[in-house]
Amino acid sequence: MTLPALATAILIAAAIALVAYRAGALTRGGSMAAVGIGALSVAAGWS
Amino acid sequence: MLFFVAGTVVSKLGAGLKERRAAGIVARMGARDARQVLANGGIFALCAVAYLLHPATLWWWTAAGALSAAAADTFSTEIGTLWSSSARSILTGERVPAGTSGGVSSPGTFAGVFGALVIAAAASAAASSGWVAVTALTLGGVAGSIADSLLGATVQHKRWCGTCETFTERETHSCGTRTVHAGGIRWLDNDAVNLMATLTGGAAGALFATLWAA
Repeated sequence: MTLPALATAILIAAAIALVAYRAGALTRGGSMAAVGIGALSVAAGWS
Repeated sequence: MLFFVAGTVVSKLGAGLKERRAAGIVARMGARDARQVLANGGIFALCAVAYLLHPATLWWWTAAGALSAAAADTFSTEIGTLWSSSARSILTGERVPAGTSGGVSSPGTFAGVFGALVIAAAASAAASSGWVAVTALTLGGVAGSIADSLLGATVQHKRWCGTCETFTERETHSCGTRTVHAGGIRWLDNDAVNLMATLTGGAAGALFATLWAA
């Protein structure tokens, strides 16, 4: 995976976590953990 | 990402009603914190790290099985609590309030299987695998969900409110009474049970996928 593709995927994960945070489904800590998990998933090439 | 989107949607469905039904029982309602997210996604994240260090298909199956189990638990809890104000103990069959750990219901069980199937289908499609993989991962998710209910009914920390004469997971009950330890292992809370359930789902999913897809 190229660096721009990785960065884009992480940004998408962050955007989804932000929506979940604003909707009240995740706390701030929960959304950060979700972005971390999403980033690992992308790094492994799974997302 | 599909898991987070689906989990968010299903959590927000009838949130007010679910809160009224389970607020006196579960330790935390509403927005999920980092501990809860890691309890559901921690095994998946560990598998991703393991895959980065040592790429092997086994990590992918384990991660997908763990996520399938997390989806099964989330869907069954959220839909089960929304559908009915009571459930039945997986051990004794006695009626228990909705949201009680170890409680199961038909709508919750069907929703759990559906949640596991959604994640299993997406994971199998991503891996270009067929129906054998979908079945293996769905069964892995269901196995994790059953483990969650069994652990919740047996070893999970349980507390008692003397004022309301009811079991709860909360240290201070919704009535304001300080609750006392009433069973289970003190450190084994709902998050620890969820972590063990996703581990079970991951192991079962990987086992079934390896045995049947080989």
